[in-house]
Amino acid sequence: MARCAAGAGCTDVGLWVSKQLRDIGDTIHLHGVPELQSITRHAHALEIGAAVSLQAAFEAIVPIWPQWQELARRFASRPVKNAGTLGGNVANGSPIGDSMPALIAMGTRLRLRLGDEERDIALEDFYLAYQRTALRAGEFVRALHIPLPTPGELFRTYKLAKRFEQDISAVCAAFYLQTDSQGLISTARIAFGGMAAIPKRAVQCETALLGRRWDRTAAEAAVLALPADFQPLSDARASAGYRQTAAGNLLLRFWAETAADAPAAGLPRGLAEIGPIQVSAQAAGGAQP
Amino acid sequence: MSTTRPIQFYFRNKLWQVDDAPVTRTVLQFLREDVRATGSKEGCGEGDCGACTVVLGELQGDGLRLHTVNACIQFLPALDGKALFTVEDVALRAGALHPVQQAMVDCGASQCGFCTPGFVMSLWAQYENQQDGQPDREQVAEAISGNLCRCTGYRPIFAAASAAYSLPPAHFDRQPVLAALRQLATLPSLNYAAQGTASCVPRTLSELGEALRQWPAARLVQDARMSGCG
Repeated sequence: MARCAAGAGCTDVGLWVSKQLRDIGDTIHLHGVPELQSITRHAHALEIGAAVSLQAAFEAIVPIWPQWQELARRFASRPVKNAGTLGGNVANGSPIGDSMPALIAMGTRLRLRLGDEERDIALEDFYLAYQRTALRAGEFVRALHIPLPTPGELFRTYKLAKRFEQDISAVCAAFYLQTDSQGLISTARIAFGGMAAIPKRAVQCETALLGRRWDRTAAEAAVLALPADFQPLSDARASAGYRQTAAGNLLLRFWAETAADAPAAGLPRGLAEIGPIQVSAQAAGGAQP
Repeated sequence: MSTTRPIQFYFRNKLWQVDDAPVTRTVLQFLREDVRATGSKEGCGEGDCGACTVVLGELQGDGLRLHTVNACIQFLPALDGKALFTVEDVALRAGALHPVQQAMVDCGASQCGFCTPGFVMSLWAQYENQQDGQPDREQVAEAISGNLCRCTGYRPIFAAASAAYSLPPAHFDRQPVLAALRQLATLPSLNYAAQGTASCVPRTLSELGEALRQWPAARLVQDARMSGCG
């Protein structure tokens, strides 16, 4: 494969030209294909075509999942949301792409197309290594399928960045829990951006939650498991220690907003006054910047 | 794919054809260097500061949908079949200002002025898209989320965003734009080549599959079209 045909939003590709002065060769623009522009609500999933703008995608997502509202607002500026696509964000596969943690936690599947053949792949299996995806030569992302909410599920996504909008995340997190009839956690999908070379699930963290009641003890056990999942980098946006600490704190924030024993459970988001949460140095990976 | 044809779009009351620009020539380079329409500024060159904000128009059903984009990171083929509006286009009469511009002046919302054309375009798109009442503060904040001002400050700009609605309404005539866009919609899909580079804008999945077979090394530009959605 020469210059790969992996899809990328023009809001990224534009910079390869304007800033890196890269010769990107021939281009194929996706904005003309109606099949890639549709948003369809199926019985069990919301289908978003790969060339749907971020703005239009968020306008479809937020009414179904209000938990996306802040992320949608802070994802990027309006002109970038008008020009960029959810499909491009996903296909470009940046380790700090803001949509992927939430989409992975929600169990999103991608429909890929090569010639006349299509296949489905779970988004979490799409990322192989730093900016390498499962796309084969000539294959492209046709659509995303996001499973619709089911009763009893708990879901939140958080973006940590220095500016309100238009900033690249230091850490982006998403949490999804489902409990069984006894109130024990039966499904846990937790995904982070900014913590590894790819958007990635926190498998050890999830394992620490399975079969337990969703309470402070479970949340703290999950925080303690996080360093086994990630060894984040230090860069211009945040130190490794900050990232590790923040990731654990976001998990506690998720607990604070959703668990029955939490001080802020049931309060509208943003109104909760829960006070500072103490995290042990051990839970924070022992590293303090 | 169809035979090669120029990139075609609506701009300044007429249809334009571009047949000699490389496929990664940006809309801002086209405006400032080719057309000498220098109202749109280059600040950051990476879609962050918004000094280059322009508005694109597309057909949406029978109507026209307008949305802001950063001209510095949009390539010319992305204009194909669309209408392009810049800060030079918003005043309805020569010598007069659009209400959005007049409000910026009245509220002292422009100081060094470099960011001003971008703010005007963001507010103009909102003014045109939302004609059934004044936007609230949060809607204004969202509309100008892609515009940075580093000397005036945002308070007078927010004031201008409100004050524009107190001035006599001024909306442009959409019919000539709609007629031009309908005419552009009858063109075959874009297959463009110039200066050793090529670009295409397929209209069907099978055309896209064919393009990927023909050009296995091509870069897929996953740009959006606002209006086909829903």
